[in-house]
Amino acid sequence: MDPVLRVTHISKQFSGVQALKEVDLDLFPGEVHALMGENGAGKSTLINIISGLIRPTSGTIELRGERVQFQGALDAKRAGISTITQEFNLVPQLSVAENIFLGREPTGPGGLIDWKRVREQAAATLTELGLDVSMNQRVEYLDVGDRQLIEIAKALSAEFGVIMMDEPTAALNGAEVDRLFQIIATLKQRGVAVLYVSHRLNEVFRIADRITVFRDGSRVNTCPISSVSADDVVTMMLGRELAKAPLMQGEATGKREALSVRGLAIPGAAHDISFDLSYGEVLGCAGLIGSGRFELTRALFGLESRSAGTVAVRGEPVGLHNPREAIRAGISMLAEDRKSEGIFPDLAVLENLVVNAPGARSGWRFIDGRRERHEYEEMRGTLSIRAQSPRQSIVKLSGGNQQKVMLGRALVSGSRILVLNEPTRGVDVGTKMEIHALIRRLAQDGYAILVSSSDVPELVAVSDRCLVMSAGRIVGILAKAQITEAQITALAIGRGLMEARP
Amino acid sequence: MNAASSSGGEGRRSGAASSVRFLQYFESFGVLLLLVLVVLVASTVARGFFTYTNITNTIIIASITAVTGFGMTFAIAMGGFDLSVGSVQALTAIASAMLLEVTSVPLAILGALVLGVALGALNGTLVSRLRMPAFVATFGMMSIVRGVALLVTRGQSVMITGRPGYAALNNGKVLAVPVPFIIVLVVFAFLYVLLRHTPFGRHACAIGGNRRAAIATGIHIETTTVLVFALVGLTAAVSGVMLSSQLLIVDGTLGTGFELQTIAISVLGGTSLAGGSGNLLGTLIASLLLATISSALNILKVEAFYQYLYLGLLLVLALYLDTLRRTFIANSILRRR
Amino acid sequence: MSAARVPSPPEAQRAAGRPLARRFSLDLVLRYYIQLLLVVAVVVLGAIDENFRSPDNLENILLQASFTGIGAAGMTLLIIAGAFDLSVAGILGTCGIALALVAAAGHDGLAVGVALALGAGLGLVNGLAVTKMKIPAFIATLGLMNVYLGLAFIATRGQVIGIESEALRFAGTEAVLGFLPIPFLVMLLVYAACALVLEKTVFGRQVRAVGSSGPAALAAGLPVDRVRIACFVIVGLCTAIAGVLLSGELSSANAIMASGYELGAIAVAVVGGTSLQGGSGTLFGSFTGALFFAVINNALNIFGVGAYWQYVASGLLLVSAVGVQELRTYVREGN
Repeated sequence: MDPVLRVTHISKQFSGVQALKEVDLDLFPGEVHALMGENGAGKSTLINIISGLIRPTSGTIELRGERVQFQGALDAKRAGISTITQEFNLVPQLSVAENIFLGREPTGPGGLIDWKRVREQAAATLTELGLDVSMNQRVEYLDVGDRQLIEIAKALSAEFGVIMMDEPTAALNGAEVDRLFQIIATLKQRGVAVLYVSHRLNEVFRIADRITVFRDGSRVNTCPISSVSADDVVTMMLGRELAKAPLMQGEATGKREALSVRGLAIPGAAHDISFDLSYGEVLGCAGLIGSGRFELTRALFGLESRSAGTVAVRGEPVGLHNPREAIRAGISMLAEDRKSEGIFPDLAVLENLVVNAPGARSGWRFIDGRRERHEYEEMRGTLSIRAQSPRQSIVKLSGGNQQKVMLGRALVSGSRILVLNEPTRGVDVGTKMEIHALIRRLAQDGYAILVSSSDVPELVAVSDRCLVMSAGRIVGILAKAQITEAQITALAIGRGLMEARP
Repeated sequence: MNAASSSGGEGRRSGAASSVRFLQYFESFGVLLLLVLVVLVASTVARGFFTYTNITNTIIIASITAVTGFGMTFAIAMGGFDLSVGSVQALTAIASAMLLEVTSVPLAILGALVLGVALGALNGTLVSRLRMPAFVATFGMMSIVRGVALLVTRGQSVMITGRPGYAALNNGKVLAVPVPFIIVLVVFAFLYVLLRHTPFGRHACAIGGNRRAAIATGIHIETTTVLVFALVGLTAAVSGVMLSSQLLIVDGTLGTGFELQTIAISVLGGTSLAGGSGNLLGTLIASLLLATISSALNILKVEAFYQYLYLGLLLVLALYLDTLRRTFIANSILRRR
Repeated sequence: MSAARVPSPPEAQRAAGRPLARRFSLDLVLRYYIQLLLVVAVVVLGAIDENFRSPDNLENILLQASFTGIGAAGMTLLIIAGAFDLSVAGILGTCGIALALVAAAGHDGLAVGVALALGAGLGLVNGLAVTKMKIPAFIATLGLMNVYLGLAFIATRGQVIGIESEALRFAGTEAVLGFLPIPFLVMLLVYAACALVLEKTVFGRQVRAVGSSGPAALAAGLPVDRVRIACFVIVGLCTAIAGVLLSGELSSANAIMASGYELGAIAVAVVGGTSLQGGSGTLFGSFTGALFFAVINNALNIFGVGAYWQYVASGLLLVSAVGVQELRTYVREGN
């Protein structure tokens, strides 16, 4: 049998960074091919190339034996490649059937939609997938699990030959995962090729036929799933051998407690979260998509509501219903995406820095230009912010410097508890190291810092202890000695605590 | 419908699903219930409401608003709206009146309709090609077209004389149904089929419901936008022609406040400002509702000024309900585990 | 002046080469285009027509500019905060009527106080509808305008209420120093106050932040709803001030005395450089815009072109101004 999709020697370079190095991959009809690797290993880049969003720097893509070059995402779609991601391309107000046929509605005489054909085909697809959903139901009344399956139904109905799924089980509960796997089995029977990208080892072993492991932009190995063990896979992902070791729970440092979280639950994302954060320590927080890490930090800042549990600052329980309350309680946050929730693009650097400084919170005050300039100079020195002038528009600054300004804002607010989300996202290497050094220094100065990041080496570099989350729970709290890439990744993908062989 | 919507079927979820379904029904039929209620109240309280003449007049008045309301509903479904419909109505009414001085009735009507389509297409182009927010583009056009209407008439009125057949558009009846209402039914049928049963209509809803998904699916956003606005312009022109045949004397100040009425009946009829769907039947019922209230207030000799008041309050209330509905759905459906 | 945009130093300019220099001067022209246009218009019109440059006419221009201009000051702040208010015509009518009714009872000072308080109150209602009821600003204020108009009509039974008070009439029509109408002086004060608030107070910066990025403002702990509500109240207040002066000038008040006011106020702000996306705009620009509109309208009147062209002109200016803003972004981003 010939592969339906084959990529050969695909490389991708992004200004100075080699994201993919001559990778090969092929997909056969009717197979489920898992793709695994750490963050930054290149999985997403490959998916984006195959789905037409970006062009490879070199290499070829062959679809059913013919070379293709995609001009964009629509092109790849028309060629029969469907990509299912966290964001669904569904219109909530249209019905299931209408969504399935969106853009390719069958028409009859007069240009009217041929509902008979729509109903028949939709029914057939839904039955085939075993979906117990009314096709006339509006998508907005379906929950996440159902919506994802409608996305799959779209691809199936349109006879796509290749379906790529990126972390499909991130938002699903156990029963829904079972249902998804049944459907994938159906897809296999139909001869659809499925590229399954996931970090959840146990699921991969349930569903995949073959597995490819990426590491640092290169393909490490491709083999039938039956020929490897979970340990083998982890070794391939990390490049080192691992062996089981007794669990060592990381203990708190014994310093003064800044934040105490008990039994925190966020509907749909996390439950039973308990941990302590002391002044003077950096607590890392690791976890992949769907682990609940993202929602946890937002809940600590009042941007996400919690359904249970208590949070205490310095022993006093706090409500944290909105960011104002959090700041008043002494917590400041660095948002994960500074473009959407961080910077004020129309304002100057200085203004972005001091926008919520203690002296500038009450509206009916005149701006104390001198004090603010002083605060700016102080931060500029402490954080080494490179800007031409405090009045410069913040959008003119580099990503790294913008991030420093965001960090400065958190510091200027006077909070001693910092929740930093992806502190070096979109930041150049040099600035990244500066920020890491800064985080360590702040801890030494007595700040309590929670660093939530998808960059595992970063967590290794800065953390005193490290929480690891998976599937909405804390699966481990690592002590300093145990904080290694291997440990964190192993825990995050659900492999249990391991210790690296020297 | 949807007995077991998905795996599990925990008590909480089926509870949420059934209350959402209740909300769906209420959306569609709530305004009908309201209409029936108001008609009952009006008949008892306002002597002379439930007469043949009065009902006919009420239906005729409702018709003029309903026609453009349908177009506005379509635009809102696409995620936009058109503040210039009042001015377009005035200008097309004037155009038909002026054309009637020089040409036959069919051609005059055609001319007015073409004008409406052109103005609508202009709005659509400003919004799609020049990427102006619908608010600015149509707000600006509103005043430009209004100005043109006043200029062209030099602030005077234009009378329609010597065309005995023309008034029949307003006064005539076919099988005891007033002609304006027939026009409403025709426009309703046309737009209903367009919105629900053609790819074009589904695509317009997709653009309003999830623009990103619409782009990803390969839908032509710009073309669809221009066409939908042209449609709104067309319906505004139809109402302009109907108005001119009713008043037989037009001037540049017609249609003030018309945009508010047409948006109000769309929202009252259950069309959400968030976009993605349009309830044309609801718009029709809401237009009858508004006309009924007006008529009843007139009979009761309540000053016309109170109508400003109640219309505004009703609109704000309807919008608030829309907000509540959206929040309720977001909270009840998407919270699981 | 908005503090965010400062030209890069000349060395950078030279170093970057000619394309940057051209882009930079184009951006400069686009930034001050309204001031340039005003100067050009005044000079050209003054040269062409002797009626235009008569002191009486110039005084008239300043007078007319102030009625729309004062409302536009508040509207500028609101648009910077990311919202609009289409109900200002209703607020103005209602406040004018309140003024006339209380003044008729003989208490001028109280009348002004009542009018201003009413304006602020209606602005508060607008603000609450938009922030607490989460109704999109344009439709909420459109609906509420009807409500205010309705209230105004009901209070007057559709009649026009005369104003006998000498003081109020004086404030609306007389001039100081021979050519500066009192309303214009009030306008200067209002603009000075608003500019002060926008540039020099914490609140002003919060306004710009909220308009620049609502989610970022929330995440930064700013009182987003409170800021927006305050801006609506300011619009109501400014509109009330304009209403007091206009009623004085007309010696009367009625419900539709300011029909179309929202168009004027918004157009002035937009033409003056306030971005409809929120986050940027200057009072100085709006001030110039108000003068510009007044000059154009005045010229149209002098040339006998009539009031109706003013509708067309306002609409065209609004649409073109937005087009110019798009052009500026296009040029600045260089793509």
